[in-house]
Amino acid sequence: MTRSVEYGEPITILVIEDNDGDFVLVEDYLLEKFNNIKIERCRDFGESKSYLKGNTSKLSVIFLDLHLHDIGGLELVKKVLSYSYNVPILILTGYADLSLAQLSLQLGVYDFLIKDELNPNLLHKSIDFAINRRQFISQIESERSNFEDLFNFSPQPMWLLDTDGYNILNANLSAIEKYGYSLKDYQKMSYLDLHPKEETKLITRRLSDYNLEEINNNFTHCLKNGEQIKVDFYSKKVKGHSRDMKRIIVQSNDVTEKLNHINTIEIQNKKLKNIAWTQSHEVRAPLSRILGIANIIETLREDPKKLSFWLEQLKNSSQEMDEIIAKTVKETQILNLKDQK
Amino acid sequence: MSSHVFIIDDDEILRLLTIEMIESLDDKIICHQCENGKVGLETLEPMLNSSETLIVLLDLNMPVLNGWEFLDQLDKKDINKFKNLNLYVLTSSINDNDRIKSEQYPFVKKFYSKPLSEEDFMKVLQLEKI
Repeated sequence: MTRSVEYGEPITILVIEDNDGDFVLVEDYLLEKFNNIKIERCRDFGESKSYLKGNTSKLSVIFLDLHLHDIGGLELVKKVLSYSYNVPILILTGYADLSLAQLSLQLGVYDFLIKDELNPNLLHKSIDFAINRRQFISQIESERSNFEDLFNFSPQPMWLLDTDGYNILNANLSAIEKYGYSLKDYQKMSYLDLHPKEETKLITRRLSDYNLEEINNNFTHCLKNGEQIKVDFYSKKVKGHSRDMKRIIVQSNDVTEKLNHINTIEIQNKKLKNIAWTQSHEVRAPLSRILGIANIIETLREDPKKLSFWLEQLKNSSQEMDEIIAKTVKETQILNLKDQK
Repeated sequence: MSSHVFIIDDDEILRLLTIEMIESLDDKIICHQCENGKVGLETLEPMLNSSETLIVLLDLNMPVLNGWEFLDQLDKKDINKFKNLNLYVLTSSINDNDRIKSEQYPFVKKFYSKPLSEEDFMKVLQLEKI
C-alpha cells in the first residue's frame, strides 16, 4: 500500500517548522510517499512571510507548526492565512493544542495533524485530500464569478431586487453608467423609484405577475440627471442564498430612439396621406374646371366677349393648380429633409 | 311643366361653367346656384312636392354642409316618394372610395367626376339628341 501518487506537475510543499526533529520526520515521510516532490522549509513567521510573498503560486500545501519563535497560536494562523493566497494549510500540532487546532479550522485551515500520530499514509492522504478540495473550491468559485460577470458586465442594465418593497440590492455596471446612480445610491432606492409616480401601480402588478409582460411594456425610467427614457423591461424571480429568500432580476431596454423613430414615421405617413388627399381633391378641382372650360370654349367660338372671359378663367385655374403642385413638392421636400436628419 | 337644375357647388366658376353648358343645350331649363349643401337644401325643399322635374348636381367637398351631410339630411326625409327628384353626385374627386360611398345612397342616380361632358349633360338633363 505504499503506492506513490503521480501528479501532473511536481508538487512543492512548504513546511513551517522550527523544530529540526519534527521537520526531518515530516520530510522523511514525504519523500517516502512522493516521487516528484520539492520540500521548502521556513523556521519562523518572518521567514515564511518573505517566502510566501513570491512563491504561493507554485505551492501545493503548507504545513504549519502552531508554535514558532516569533509568533504562535491563532494569531500565527491568521497571519499565515493572510499571506497564503488560498494555498491549503495543514496544521501540525501536539495533543496539548488540540482545541486550538480545532478553532483554527474555522479560520480557513484545511486540516490538522497530530505529530504523535503522524505516519506516511496519513500525511499522504491529507495532502491528496487538500489538493483535491482546493481544485474543487476553485472550480466553484470560477463558476460563481462567471455568473457574476454575466450580471455585472451585461450590456443591458440589470438590477437585483428583494420581493418586499422591490428594494434594489445590486445593480450592474450598465445600470450604473447609463442611469448615473452609484451602487450606493441604488441600494437606498426601491426599483419603483426609477419610475414616475403614475406608473407605480402598474409596475407593482407587473413585478408580481409575469404573464403581463407581453401585454403592456411601455414604461418610463428616470435617470439621475432628471432625463426620462422610454423602456421595456423583463423580470424573473430567482432564489436567493437561503431556501426561502426570493429575489427578482430586472433587465431594461432603452426604446426611446425606437419610439422616436416610429413617431417620425407616423408623422410622415400622415403627411403622405395628406398629400394623397390633396392630389385627389385639391389638384382635381382646378383641373376639372380647366377641362370644363375647354369643353365650353369649343361651343363659344362666335362670342368673343364670353370667350375672353373663359380664357381668363382658364388662366386662373391653371395658376391655381400650379400653386397646389408647388405646395405639394415643398411638403415632400420637408419630408426628405427629415429623413436625412 | 319645366325642369329645374340645382347646382350645389362652392366653386363659383364651375357653377357658371355648368350654367353655360346647360343654357347652350336647352335654354328653357331653370338653373339654381347653391354655394353649399345648406343653401341647396333650403332651395330644394320647397319644390320637392311640386310636379316639376328636379335635377340635383351635388358636389361633395363644400363648407358649411358638405355633400355627405346633404345626402344624410335628405335620407331622413323619406326621399323615395319624390319621384320627380334626380340626384347626381358630381365631384372633382376621382377617389374610388367616394364613388363607392355615394352609391350606397339609393337615391343617388349616378356618380360623376367633373367635368361633365356634353354627352353626360344630355343624359342628366334627359334631353334627346337632336
